[in-house]
Amino acid sequence: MDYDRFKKEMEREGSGDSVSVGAGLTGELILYSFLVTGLFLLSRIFGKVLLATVGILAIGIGLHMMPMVFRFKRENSNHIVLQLFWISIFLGAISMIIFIAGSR
Amino acid sequence: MNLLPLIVVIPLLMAIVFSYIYRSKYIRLLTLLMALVLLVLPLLGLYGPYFFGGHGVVYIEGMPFVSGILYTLNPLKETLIFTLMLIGVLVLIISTREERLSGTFTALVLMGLASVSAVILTEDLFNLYVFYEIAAITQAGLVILAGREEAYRSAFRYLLVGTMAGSILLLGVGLLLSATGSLNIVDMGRYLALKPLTPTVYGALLMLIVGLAYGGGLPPFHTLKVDLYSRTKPFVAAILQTYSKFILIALMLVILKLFGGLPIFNTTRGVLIALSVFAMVFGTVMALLQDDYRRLLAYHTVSQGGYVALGLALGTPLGIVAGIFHGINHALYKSALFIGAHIVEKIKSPYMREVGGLLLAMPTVTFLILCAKLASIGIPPFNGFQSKLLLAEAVMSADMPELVILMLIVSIGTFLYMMKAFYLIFLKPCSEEQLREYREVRISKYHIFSLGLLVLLCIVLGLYPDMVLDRLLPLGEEIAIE
Amino acid sequence: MKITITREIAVSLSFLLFGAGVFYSIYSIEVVEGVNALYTQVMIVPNFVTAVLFDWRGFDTLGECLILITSVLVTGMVFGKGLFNWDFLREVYREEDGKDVDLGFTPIIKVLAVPMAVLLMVLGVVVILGGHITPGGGFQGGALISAAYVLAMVAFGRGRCPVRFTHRFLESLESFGALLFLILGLIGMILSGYYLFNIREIYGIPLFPSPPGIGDVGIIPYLNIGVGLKVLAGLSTITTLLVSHRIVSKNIGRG
Repeated sequence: MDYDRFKKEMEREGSGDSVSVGAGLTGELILYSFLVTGLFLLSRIFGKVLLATVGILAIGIGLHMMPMVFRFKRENSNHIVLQLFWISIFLGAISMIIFIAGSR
Repeated sequence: MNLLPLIVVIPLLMAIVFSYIYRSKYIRLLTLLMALVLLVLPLLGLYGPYFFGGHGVVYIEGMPFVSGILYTLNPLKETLIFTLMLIGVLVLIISTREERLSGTFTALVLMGLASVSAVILTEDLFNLYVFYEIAAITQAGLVILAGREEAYRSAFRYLLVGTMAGSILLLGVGLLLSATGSLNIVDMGRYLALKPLTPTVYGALLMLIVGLAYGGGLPPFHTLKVDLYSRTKPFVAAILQTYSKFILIALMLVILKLFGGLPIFNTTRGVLIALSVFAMVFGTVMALLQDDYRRLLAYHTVSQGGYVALGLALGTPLGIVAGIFHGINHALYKSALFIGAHIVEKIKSPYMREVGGLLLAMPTVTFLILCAKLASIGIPPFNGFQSKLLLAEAVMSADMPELVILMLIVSIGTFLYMMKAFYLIFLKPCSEEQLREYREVRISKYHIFSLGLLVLLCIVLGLYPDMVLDRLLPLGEEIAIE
Repeated sequence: MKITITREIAVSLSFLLFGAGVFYSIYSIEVVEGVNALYTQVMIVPNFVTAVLFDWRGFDTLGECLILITSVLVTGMVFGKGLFNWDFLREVYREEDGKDVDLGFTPIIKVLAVPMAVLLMVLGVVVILGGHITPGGGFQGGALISAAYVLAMVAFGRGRCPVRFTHRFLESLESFGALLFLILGLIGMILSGYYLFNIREIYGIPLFPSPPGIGDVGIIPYLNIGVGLKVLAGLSTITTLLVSHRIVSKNIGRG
């Protein structure tokens, strides 16, 4: 991902000066390193080859999707529809995790 | 006589009185007097159990049960309540400088203080739920007080989701009652450890986690909380974030006490750690993208809430102590930052690009805010450093070095946006004319006093962390999971 | 905001999972008696529900009352009570002239509403006062009385309503009810050291005159009265707020 493209995206959102672009890029890097470290942790705990493969795939997809930070910002907006969407996904996800773990 | 219930009852009593006389001329004076009373409250209780209505422990088929409602006080809870009351007092003092102060504000703050202290003190799950609901309604009310359209919107949205999350939590409490036959947390935990787990208990655990995420502002509820903090007046946000941080701590401790020894706890721990890491990262990334100083601080609150939850979710003695200590530190320096934001908003505007060069207009306030910012980033000799170091140690000893790396990365992000905000607001050059405009606005002594006191506490806790840690450690070992 | 079909499927799937989880956990409930054995064996007053609500777990009931108080306070603030800034509400109520419009209903409804309201009120009083013996209590009785008030107000309009409660009076009633509860708790604390202690008698005089054989009534009827006053005033306050423009205009400093 090149700096210029990122700057152009930031300018479209109305904040294209160097301070904001720097902050935005840092955000992008933090998201990406979160992905990488999270996968490291998961693959170490579960210790599965499959998970590692999926992890490498996810990192690749992440690289392909860059810049992620704008998409991320849109999902985190305070629109009620998006909030309710993520809340319902959260409910489904944790009920799946807890009941599957409980059934073992 | 043990006067423990007065910690809850006196603010409730005064809240009703204040809401009745809300238009009185003497509200400012009465609010100041009330603030003095609040400072005495944490000293009233004695350590140990307190049974409401005199209904103590009974033995049914050889099992001890608490028949009524039980509150306990220990050094940990006392420290939390003292911090809570201190911030409440400072907010009340600042509020007397507001133009249109009415009794409703004081009443709501008192109601919130009482309900959060009840949530901290109680050992009874239903009692906790009742006061949790009061705290949720109070927070929405405090946001509505700002009176702007977006404040109405965000408060309404918060209550809308709150109805859902609150009902889910209540259902969880009901399921646990049916599975254990008691509402006392210690009794329930003992029963759960004895009997094999049923799906009912899993459902209850799931519902408690939903309640925790809503009350403490973990994802996916963080956007709602951010809306709340950024749409109200910043000094009100100081008390709002203290409420939700302490509710987070209290509910985390409840989950640890109930499910700590069970085989399901490993999964629970994973879910909680994941939630807190999400909060840390999401808060930081979103804060980096903000232009509005209030929203930046609000997202910072979310990310620091993730730190607190991470420490508690580890379940080790060190983790619990570090989490709670970080919660206390966070409440202190974050309130200072929000009060600083209130001053900035008063002088010019909350949008960072519209201000600049405030350093020349008010050097003292700038210095104090810088100190609070350094504390929030975690730089010695401030308290943030101590608790983050402790957290990193705890995570390291729980065998998760990746999370330490992530914590460091998040800290770097925090440093970046805090310094970005500091540059844009205080250091960026500005015109003579603007400077004259800044100098016309008078900043009250009360604001500077509150800010100074909080920063002083940050430094004291940074230099002598044992003052608090000694009080937390024995309790941390008691609650911790092997 | 446009929602794609993928998201809709994801939401329905996750609700399916969550719903299945909730259903599974409720389906497999096996109720453990636990401490409830005590509640059903020890007789404090003949109505066991009231005994649990006001004696064993009195502080929870106080909390429930306070939820209502806070909600009423916040509802009042939504309509402008003591805000920091009234610009938004002034804009919303720009065209209102601050007068209440009383439409009222046809004579049939008016004729029926008065006796109904009176009956409901009397029933409410009975339910509150007999809360410790018969089914019912403060919450139910208060809700009945406020239902009577709402019925009369809907039938006649606020101006010509035969049951006249002013807004201020309702506020006082609500505060008084809650304060009664809190202060009775404090008296118990002074006499015995326990908050909300059920005081049976003071110097041999029973607190509430009642025939023998119905247990130690103590302060329970007074707590019921407090809760009843609070609930009736709270629900009525919310209704008057919804019905009346005049209160809002007064709140936002016009009129």
